Amino acid sequence: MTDAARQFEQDKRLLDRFVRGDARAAEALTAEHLPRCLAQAFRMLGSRTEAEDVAQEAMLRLWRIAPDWRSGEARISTWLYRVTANLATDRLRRRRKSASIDDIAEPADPSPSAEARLMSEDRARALAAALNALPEKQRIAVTLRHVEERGNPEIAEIMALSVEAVESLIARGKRKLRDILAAKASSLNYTDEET
Amino acid sequence: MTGSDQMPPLSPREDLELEAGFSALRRTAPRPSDALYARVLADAAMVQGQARQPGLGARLAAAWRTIGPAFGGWQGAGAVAASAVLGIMVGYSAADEATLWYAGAAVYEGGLDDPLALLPVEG
Repeated sequence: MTDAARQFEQDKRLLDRFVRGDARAAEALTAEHLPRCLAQAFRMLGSRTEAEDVAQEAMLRLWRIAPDWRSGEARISTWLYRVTANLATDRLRRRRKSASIDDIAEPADPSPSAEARLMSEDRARALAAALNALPEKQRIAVTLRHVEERGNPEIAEIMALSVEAVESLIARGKRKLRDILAAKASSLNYTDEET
Repeated sequence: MTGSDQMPPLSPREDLELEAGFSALRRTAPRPSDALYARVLADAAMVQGQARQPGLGARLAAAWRTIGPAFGGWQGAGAVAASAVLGIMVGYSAADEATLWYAGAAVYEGGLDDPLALLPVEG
């Protein structure tokens, strides 16, 4: 059984337990999915407060749909990604402006030194700006793959594309990112590997 | 042939450089606070609580289980309901004439305009 299939089965079991009133199932599902919802909403909205509201609402919708969840239709993570994206998009439409990359929060896991932390922040800001300059499909595919670390089959499911199309989008997106960042590479000292 | 096939692949060094950026970007993602976890779990408990509360149908069924035997179950209740319907139909039907029988003989035949005529005649 693949990791995706295993995750799918685990989610299904947890949802069944949740419907039967098991509070621990709710805790497990929250621990698994809330961080991703919050991160995704934050990347779209740039505001922690709004991202928390969106993540909470997305999880609430999961609780409410749980009794009617049709197994085999979608993974919970895929479903939550779409719900979170829709909720965040609604908020963006309401406030009629995009999130500024200047709103990106302090790193939650700061580097040991101030210099390294600043370098990391610079990289994050530069990459966020470069990602925003990509065509939408490339931006979504690259973000899902390399920022959210989802597998290509799941990205294909989310984007309703073939895995080959997703691979192509990611390859083109990364090439374009590299081109955008090339001009700033020297000032950001990209050649110093942190890891 | 896709667009990616036509472009030169990223060199390992370019890949590493990009990965450093992705890694930095991943670290900018906020982690859920304890307060947010608590809010989400409170929502879950609320939804689970609502699911445990019986709906109207279930409440009516429970009430019937309590009072049903007093009516003789479904058959008794059905008979009571049928009698009630028949009584209402008879009550609403407009009778113009009536025949009053006493000791096997008709003692009155006529309209219902004069209710006093229905009273037994003494002597």
